[in-house]
Amino acid sequence: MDPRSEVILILSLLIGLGFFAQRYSRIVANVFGLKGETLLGIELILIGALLGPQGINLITRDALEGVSPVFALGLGWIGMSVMIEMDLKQFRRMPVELGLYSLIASVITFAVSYVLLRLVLAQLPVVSKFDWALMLAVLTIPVAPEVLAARARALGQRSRELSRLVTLGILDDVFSILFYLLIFPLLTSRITGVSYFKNLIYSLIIGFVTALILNLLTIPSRKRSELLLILLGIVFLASGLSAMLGISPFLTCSICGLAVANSSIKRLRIAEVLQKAERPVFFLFLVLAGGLIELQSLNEDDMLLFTSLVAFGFVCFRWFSKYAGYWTAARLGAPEAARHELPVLALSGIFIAMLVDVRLVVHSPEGNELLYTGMLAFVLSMIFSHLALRFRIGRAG
Amino acid sequence: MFDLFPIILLFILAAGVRWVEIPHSEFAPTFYLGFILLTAYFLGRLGTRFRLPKISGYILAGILFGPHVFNLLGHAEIEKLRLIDGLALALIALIAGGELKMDDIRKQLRSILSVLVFQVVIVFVGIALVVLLSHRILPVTRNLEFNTVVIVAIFLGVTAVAKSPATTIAIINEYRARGPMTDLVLGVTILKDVVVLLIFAMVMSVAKMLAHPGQSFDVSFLMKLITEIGLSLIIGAGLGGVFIFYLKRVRSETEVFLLLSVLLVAEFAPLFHLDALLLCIAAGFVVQNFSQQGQRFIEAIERSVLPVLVLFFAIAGAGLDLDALFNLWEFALILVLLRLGFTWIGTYLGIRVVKGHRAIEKYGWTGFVAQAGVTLGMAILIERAFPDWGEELKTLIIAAITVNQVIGPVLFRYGLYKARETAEFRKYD
Repeated sequence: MDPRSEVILILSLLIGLGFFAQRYSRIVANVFGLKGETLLGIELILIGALLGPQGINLITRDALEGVSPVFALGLGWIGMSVMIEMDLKQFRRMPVELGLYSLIASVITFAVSYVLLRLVLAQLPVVSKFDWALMLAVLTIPVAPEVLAARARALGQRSRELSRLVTLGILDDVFSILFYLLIFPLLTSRITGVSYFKNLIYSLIIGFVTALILNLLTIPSRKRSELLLILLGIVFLASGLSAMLGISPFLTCSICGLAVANSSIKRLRIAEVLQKAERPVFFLFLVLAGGLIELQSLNEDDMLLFTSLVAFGFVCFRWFSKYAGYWTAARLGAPEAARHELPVLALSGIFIAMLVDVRLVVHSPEGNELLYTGMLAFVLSMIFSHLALRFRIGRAG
Repeated sequence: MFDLFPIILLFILAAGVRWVEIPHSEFAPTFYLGFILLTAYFLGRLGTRFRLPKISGYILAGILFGPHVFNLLGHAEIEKLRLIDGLALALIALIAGGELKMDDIRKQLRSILSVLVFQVVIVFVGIALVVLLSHRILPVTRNLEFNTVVIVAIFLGVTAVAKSPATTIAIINEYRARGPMTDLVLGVTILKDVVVLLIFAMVMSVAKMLAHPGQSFDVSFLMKLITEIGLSLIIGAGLGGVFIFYLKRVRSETEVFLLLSVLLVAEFAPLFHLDALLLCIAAGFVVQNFSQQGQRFIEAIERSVLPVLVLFFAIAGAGLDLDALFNLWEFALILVLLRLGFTWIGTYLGIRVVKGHRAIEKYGWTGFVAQAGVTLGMAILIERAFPDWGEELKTLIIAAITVNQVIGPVLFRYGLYKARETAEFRKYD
C-alpha cells in the first residue's frame, strides 16, 4: 500500500474506532459502576498505542509523520476551544473569590508538587537537559471538571455548590494554561535553543496576530461552513508557524482563543463552530497521541521502571499537592474547595495536549520519556479518580 | 474589496516565512495548508465581484501561489496536500448523485442521450479529422509515420471528449442551479464519464494494434472495464443503502460518518479496480431516489464540503502546468477553440433533433468545457503506453487542459445565468 493510502486508511480507521470505542467504553464503564462517565480518552490512547509502530504497526512511523498537520490541528483546536470560554466580562460576573481561590490553589499545587518532585527526582539517576520537575509540576494543575459534572448528572445531583465546584475546575484548567505559557519557554529553551523571552514573545505575537486576523475575517456575517473553513485555516496557520519556529502550537492557539474571546463580537458563534467539530478532532488527536507511544523502547535501560515510578509518584504528589492547594483555599473562605472531589479529579484533555505539545517541539529522548510517563500517569489518575469519585460522591449523595 | 485585504495580509505573512530561514521546515505543509485554504477562499469571494465563479478564484489562488508564479507552494508541498483529491472528488460525486432526481431525468432522458451521442461523435471525429488533415504542421505529428499519426489523432479526439465532472458539479452546487439545462448537463456529464472510459479503453486497444501490427484487438480489456463499471454501480447502490440505514437509524455524527465512508471509498476503490466517482454517484442517487433522506443527506455533506472543495481546486490550480502552456500555447489554443466549436455543434444538433429547450440549444455547450483529472489521467496513460511520442502529446493535452480548466467554469456560469437557472433567478421568479 502506498504511503498516501496508508495515511488515509489510518485516519479513517482512527475516527471510526474512536467513535466505536467511545460508544462501548460507556458500556464498560457501566459494568464497573461508573455510570454517566466516559473514560475520557484512555480507550482512544490505548487503541493508538496498540495500532502504533510498536503495537500491530498499522500506524507506521512514516504515517505518523504524514499526519503531523493533524497533531498541529488537534493541539490548536483544543487550546482554542478551552480559551475561547475565557470571556473576561463573563468571568467578572462570577464571584471574584472563585478565581482567586483557584489561583491560590493552582499556585500551591504547583509549588508543592514541584518541591516534592524535585526531591524525589534528585534521588534518581537522571541526566537530562530537560527540567522534569518543572514540567510535571505544571501538569498537576489541570483537572477534568466534566467528569465531576457527568458524575453529578448521573446521580441526579444538582446544587449551587456542585456548579461552583465545576467552575472552580474550569478555572484550574485555564490557570494551568497560563502557567504553561510561562513555564514552556523555560523548559524548551535549553533544548530548542530559542531563548525564554523570544519564545514567549513569539507565542504572544503569533497568538494575538492570528486572533486579529480571525476577528477581521469574521466581521462580515459568515455561514457555518465558511466559519469552519476560516477556523481551520487560522489553526493550521498558527500551529504550523509555531511548530516551524520551535514554539508551542498549543499555546499560540490558546492565546489566539483568549484574545478572540475578549475582542470578537462573533465569539459565541466561533465557540459554537469550534465545539461542533471538537469530537472528531479530539478522537483523532488522542489516538494519534497513543500511536506516539513506542512500547518496545520501554524495555531499554529500565525505562519502564523509571517512567512507572515517576508516573506513580506524579499521581500521588498531584493528589497531595492538590489537597494542600484546596485546603488553603478553603481556609481562606471557599468552603466548596474543602470538598474532596476536586483534588481526586482525573487529568484532562489539556494534560494530553500539553504532553504532545512538548513532544512535538522537543525532538529528543526526553520528549519520549515524558510522553510515556504522562500517559501512564493519565491512566493511573483516571483509574484512581473514578474509584475515589465513586466513593466520595456516592457517599455524599 | 474587503476580501482583498486578507489575501494581501496572508501573502505578506507567507512570503515572510518563505524569505526568512525557518528552523523546523518539516512543519511547513501545516502552515501552507492554512495559507492556501484562506487565500483561495478569499480569492474565490473576490472573484464573484468580477462575475467569476468561486472555483475560478480557488484555481487562480493555486496558480498564483503555486510553483509557476510566486512559488510559495512548491511541488513537494502540493504532493503532500494532494491527500485531499480523492475525498473531494468522491464528495462531489456524492452531491451529484444526490442531485439526480429520477423524475427530472425521465423528462430529459431523450435530450440527454441525444446530446451525449452527438457530442461524443462530433467532438471525437471532428478533432481526429482536423489532426489528420493538419498533421504536417502540428509539432507532435510532424515527424511521425502515418499510422502513428492516426493513433495520435484518435487519442486527441477521445481526450477532447472527456470533461471534468467535478468542476461542472461544483459550479451547479455553487449557484444552486436548477432547471432543464442543469439537469441535462448533469445527466450528460455523468453518462459521459462512463462512455469516455469505455471509448478510451477501446481506443487504447486499437492504438496498440496499429502500433504493433501483430497484436489483436484486446476484448478482455474492454470486458474487464465493463465489469468494473457494473461492479462500481452495484457497490455504490449498496453503499447508498448503508447511508440510508445510518441516516434513518443511527443519526448521530452524520457528517463524520459520511466523510469517513467517502474517504475510504475514494482511496480504496481504485485498489479494487472500482471507479470511486461512479460508486459515489450511485450511492448518492440511491439515497435521493429510494428514501426520504435525500435532503438531510445533501445538507450533511454541504455543511462540511467547503474546506475540502476550496483546497481541492486550489491544489488543482497549483498543479496546472504553465510551462507546458507557454511552450505550446498556439497549438493548445487551436485545440481548445476546435473543441469548443465541436462541442457547441454537438450540443446544438443533439437538442435540435429532439426539439429540446431553446436555452439549452444556445447555452448548453458551456457546461462541457472544463477539463481536469480524467483527461490528465488519460494523458499519463498514453505517455506510459507510447513513450516515444507520448510525452509530447501529453504536454499538448496538459496545455489544453490548463486553458479549459480556467475558462470552463467562467463559461458555465455565463451559460447558467443566460438560461436563468441560478438560485437568484428562482428567487425573482
